Amino acid sequence: MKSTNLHDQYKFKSLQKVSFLICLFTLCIVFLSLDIMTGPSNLSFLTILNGLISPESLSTTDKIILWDIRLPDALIAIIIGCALGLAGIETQTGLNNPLASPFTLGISSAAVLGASCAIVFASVFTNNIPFLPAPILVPAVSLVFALIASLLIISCTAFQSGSKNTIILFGVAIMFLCNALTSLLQYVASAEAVQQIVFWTIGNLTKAGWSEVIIVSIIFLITLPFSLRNIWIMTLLRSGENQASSTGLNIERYRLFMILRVSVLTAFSVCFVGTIGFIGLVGPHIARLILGEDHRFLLPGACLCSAVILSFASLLSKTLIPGILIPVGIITSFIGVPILIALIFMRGQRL
Amino acid sequence: MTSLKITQLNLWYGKHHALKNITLPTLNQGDVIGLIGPNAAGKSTLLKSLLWPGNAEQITTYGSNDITHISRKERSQIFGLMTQSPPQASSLTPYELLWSLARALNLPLSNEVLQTTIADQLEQFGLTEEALKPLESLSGGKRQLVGLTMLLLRSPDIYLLDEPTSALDLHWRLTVLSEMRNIIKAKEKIALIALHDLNLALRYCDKLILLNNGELIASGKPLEVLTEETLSEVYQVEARIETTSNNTQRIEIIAPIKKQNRFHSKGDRNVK
Repeated sequence: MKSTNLHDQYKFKSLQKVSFLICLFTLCIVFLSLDIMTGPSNLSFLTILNGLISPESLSTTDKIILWDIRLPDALIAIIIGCALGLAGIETQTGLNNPLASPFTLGISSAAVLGASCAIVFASVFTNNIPFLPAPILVPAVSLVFALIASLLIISCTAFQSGSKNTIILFGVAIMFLCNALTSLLQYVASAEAVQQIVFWTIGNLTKAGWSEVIIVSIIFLITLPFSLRNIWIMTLLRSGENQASSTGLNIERYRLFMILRVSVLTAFSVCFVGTIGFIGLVGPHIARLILGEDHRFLLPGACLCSAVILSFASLLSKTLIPGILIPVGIITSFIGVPILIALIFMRGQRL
Repeated sequence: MTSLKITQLNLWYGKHHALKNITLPTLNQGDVIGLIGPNAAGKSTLLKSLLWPGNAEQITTYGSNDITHISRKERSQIFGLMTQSPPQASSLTPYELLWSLARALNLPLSNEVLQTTIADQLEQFGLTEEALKPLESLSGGKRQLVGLTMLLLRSPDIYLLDEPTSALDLHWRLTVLSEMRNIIKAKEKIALIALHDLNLALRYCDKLILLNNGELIASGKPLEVLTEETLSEVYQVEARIETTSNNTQRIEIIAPIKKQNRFHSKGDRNVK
């Protein structure tokens, strides 16, 4: 009698969570559509609908605007949101620290350092590496730097047998080192280069095209199943590392592969669009406050929340001041922070 | 009858010899063994080194098998540890926790069996009300009970309980120990329970193992181990063993024996 009662309540709560996920998904689609429909050139709703179904019916300019600018920009917002949300929830749970995010691990700072190097020493790179076309120079170098930082973190994790505070401290150390080196570069660079670096750092979705959308999607789709395989362990970890490891599960090994997944996700996301606010911190927190700790719901929730925020930010960046595109990295914080603070106060919960 | 033999257990932390060549008496199915000793005696260390030998030297035989060198995973299927610290305060609910535990460990329980098992165990330890409330809203004692249900759900062959009653009130102290005893007897398991409360140890354990400074001082029937001499020597307290009206024994602690530097050389150590 009692068991069915309890389970029914549990099921009811699960159903509530599923319906919330469906709402989030719908919201995602809505923002994606709105994002595609907004822009400086006033394409009508019908033109866009037509253009999406049969691209040939559009004029050449409209076709370029729709297919080469708006669609990839709108899609990259969703996919980067998902990737950073996934990376965020994995780091928060895996390191058992509400402040941990893909950015605390220093990977994004390394990406910024890479981008700065590429911008300041552009001629050196292009003269010496013949197969590196100019447009992909900055993302390529920043990706290499981000991956080197990831490698450092992973080897630290492996040698330290995965103690979580050491990983965080090491990540923060890498972050400060990279920031210092970037500052040094900015100090010696020309005014023009500094401006470029600053612009890159703010984070901007318009740099992305179809190839970026496809690359980040592939990375996300490769890592997602591995995260899903560990979904029960992640839920269990929320009862504390002591409890989880006393069951005999190899938490150190889980953490090593978690860092690997997070590193790759962050490196590929950041190198294409720059450092985008703290979406990987806020998205998972919002999802956790609403959905609770069961990672079967929380993990997709964190991805969708981050995607919705980033897509909404992308929409706002185009519409806030007509004719001017505000970098999305600035907007995400403006949206994310109030939502997070409001939720914390409404729920009165600890993180 | 399957029995567990642990011999020549040695553990060093750097130069510190934490467990000194300990050979435990043979533990048989249905045995409830109390592990007693003052702070830093090595009780927690011993329990942990049974689950994760790490660099501990030991020879373990279980039944007719030498299980000294089995993998970590196999070991965790035989030994189950309830750690001293209860599940951390998060917004996870006990029900979700137990469910995820069963699924993370691939316990062979169908959804229907699992839901009744969880509900029964939560009810047994008075947690039905709290089953769907976040752990952070539960008291320390309730969370300790949740920790106990986690171990019971796994139902290992050998229960290692590290201070399972430290945060509990009087009612639940007695209930937990008597329920555990019933389970161990009924399912023919083995339990090693580290306890600070000697009267509880006297009342609920079949045998006691007394440790001090990483050494085995005495083992055997509770009253053979708990004598006024050992209490004054090991625990540094003046104590008297009394026989109560219904012919059971209890320990009356009178006063600490003052001795300098008692706490200077050793503090509580955590294994990692």
